[in-house]
Amino acid sequence: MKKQIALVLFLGICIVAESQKKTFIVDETPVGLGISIQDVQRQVKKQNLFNSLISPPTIIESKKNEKGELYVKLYINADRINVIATKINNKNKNFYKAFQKISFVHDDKVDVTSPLLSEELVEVTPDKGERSYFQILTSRASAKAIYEYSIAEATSGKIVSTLKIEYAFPKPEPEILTIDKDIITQNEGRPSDNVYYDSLTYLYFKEEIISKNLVKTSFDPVTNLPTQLVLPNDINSIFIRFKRLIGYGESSNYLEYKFSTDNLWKTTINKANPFIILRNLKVGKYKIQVRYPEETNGVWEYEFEIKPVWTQTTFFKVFIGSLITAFFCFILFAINYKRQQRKLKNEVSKRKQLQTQITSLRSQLHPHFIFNALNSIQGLVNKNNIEDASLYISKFGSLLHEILEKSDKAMHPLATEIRQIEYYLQLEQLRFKFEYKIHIGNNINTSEIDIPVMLLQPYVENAIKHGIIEKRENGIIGLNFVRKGAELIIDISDNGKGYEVNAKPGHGNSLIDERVRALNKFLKGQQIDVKVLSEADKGTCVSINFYNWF
Amino acid sequence: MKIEAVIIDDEENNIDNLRQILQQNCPNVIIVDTAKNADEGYSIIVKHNPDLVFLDIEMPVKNGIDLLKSLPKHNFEIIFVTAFAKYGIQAVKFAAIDYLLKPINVDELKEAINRAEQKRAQKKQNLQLENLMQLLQQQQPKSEHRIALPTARETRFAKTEEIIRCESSNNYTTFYFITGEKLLVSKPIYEYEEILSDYHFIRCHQSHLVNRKYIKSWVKEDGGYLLLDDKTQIPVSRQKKETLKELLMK
Repeated sequence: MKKQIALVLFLGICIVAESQKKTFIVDETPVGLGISIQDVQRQVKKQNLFNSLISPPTIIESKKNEKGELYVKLYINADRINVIATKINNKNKNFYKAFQKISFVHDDKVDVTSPLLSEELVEVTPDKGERSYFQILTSRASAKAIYEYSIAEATSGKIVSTLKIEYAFPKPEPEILTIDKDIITQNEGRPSDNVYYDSLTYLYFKEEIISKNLVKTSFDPVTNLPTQLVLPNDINSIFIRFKRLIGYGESSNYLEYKFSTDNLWKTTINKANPFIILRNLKVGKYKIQVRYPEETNGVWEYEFEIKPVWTQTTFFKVFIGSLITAFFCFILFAINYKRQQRKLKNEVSKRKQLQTQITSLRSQLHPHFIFNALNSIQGLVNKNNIEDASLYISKFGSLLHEILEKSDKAMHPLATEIRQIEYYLQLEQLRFKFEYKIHIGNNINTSEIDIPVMLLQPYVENAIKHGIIEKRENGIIGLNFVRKGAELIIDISDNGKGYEVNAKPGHGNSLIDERVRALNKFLKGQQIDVKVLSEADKGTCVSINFYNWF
Repeated sequence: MKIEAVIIDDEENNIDNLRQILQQNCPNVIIVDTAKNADEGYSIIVKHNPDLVFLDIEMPVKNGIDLLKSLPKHNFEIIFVTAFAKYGIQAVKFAAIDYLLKPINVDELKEAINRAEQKRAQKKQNLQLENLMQLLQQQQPKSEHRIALPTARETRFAKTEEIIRCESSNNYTTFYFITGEKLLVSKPIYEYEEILSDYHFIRCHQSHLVNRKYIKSWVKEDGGYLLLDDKTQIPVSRQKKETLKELLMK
């Protein structure tokens, strides 16, 4: 920028170029009027107040009407405008009078009835040379007024020259467009004009965009603004500050703006450098329009777009949502599964332990019976009773098969148990003389219901040993299978001499008791209870109750 | 009807014992020859083309099963004789072929011979034995295995995957097939529980044996029942709950 430029516009047609000054000689007639605009960039720079001013003063329109009056339309950006009169000097200044008339325009009509200053006489100050001027301070220039200046002959009052000036406002020019939160906060919190930014703030914005890799965009070489501004919506505030315009007084400290589909124009707060903060921007395409309140033609427009961050797209939200849900479900499932597995494992190992205990207890019962059986065979062979010996052997074999085949099983069908016990009874019948009676209730399906393997044999063995052997004659062993609801009752009775129930039971009995205890731990919700009823000379009855068995 | 039989057993005593028992109890069975190993057994079977073969499963070098595999035709009835019911017996039971355990129980022997006699009168080719041979080839996937289900009229060979469930009725078992068919077999349910335990059948109730494959869901209400693919509801008994849980979690 040049340090000082004076644009001088004269009435007339001839243009004279002076050193560093442009002078438009408009008229050769004795007295003419012109405008001298003083550029203020220098002062601005000196005061260091503002970083930039709007474009230099510009004549928009100048014409001469049929009456010879000059009409000029311009926008100023200067702290002073001088209306200059030519050919008025100290000698002839008393022959002329200068007038100023300001008319306000309402609804495109000049309201002459209410002038602020009407026909006011202004003092004409002669210049050193040929020109003289009457200085007008234009710090209050309004776009809604017509400023009329005229020179008249002092004696006749005849107007010799008239100049009509209308002021326009330029398009607002942005100086900062930023998404920097610090700048936004600073401007919000401290409404002061003294916040100073380097004129390269655009570049800062540019860097901001580049460094944050916000969007790919190009920048306008003149304004430095992004030509296509697309922002992610985690940035939801935009700050736009406008260049300062001077010469219009207060009215240049406001701007009107309209945002996208707004119907009304809103006004910014009073600032030499007015600014707009757009907040809480949602995803969408936006257009901002900005103008000076007194000037409806010069509208600055800017378009930008807020795009969803990929983490904010519906798809992403749903995806993340379901991912999180799935994750938690998985965690819950995993925990639950682990717990169940552990529980199951514990249970299985516990059950296995019990099962081993049960089978080992059972296996202790076998030898007892095996050797007795072998002893009986030997007896038959010695007596030369070959037929019985053969029968005995095959039954014994069958029984052994059943026992050994299923030695790893805890339970087997009641039918199998009964078959085995019959083999056993038949074997024992070869040794001792007794009868056995088996009664099975009609409501018991022996092939469907399971009972612990070889549970009955020791009780039957005891009945034979204690009940039959000592009686020697007419011995009867009774096996009674009764179902009462969900309960299975197996009675093993003999008609022997009976015994004291509380008397210390034999070895076999304690083994049985231990096994029943182990079984009760093993069985879930089912219980086995053994009761012994014995009456002297009448016999003994062992009653095995299986609770919850059906 | 006279039955021509051969005995194949690696112990002479066993052969003699069986022969004596047969002579005393089953006079219609005539022992035409005996053999003490599998190769000899092969020869006498081919030579005599007997009605019935008593075959010991456990023999040194080549066992009874190997001998059967090597035979081109199985047009005879067979009764396996074995000392210990572990080896091979599962397949024999699966194929519903008779077997005797040593020492021989005369009643069981008589029953087995009776059945053999009846079958012999009906047909020449022993389909049950053929089926057993296929099972033992182990070339088929398990799902292709056919269980022999003997009924009064015929022996049905059913793929285990065709059986949805079995239901007990006293000492009989009713088989339900995916085709909607039913079959009543004169064996108690617990025998099939044992035979089919390797084929993912689960005894969920004292009266019910269910093919795991067809369990749609375990409905815990109403004391708990299994909902099968054919929409039948099979009760789960309290006692079987734990076992069922273990099996289903596998």
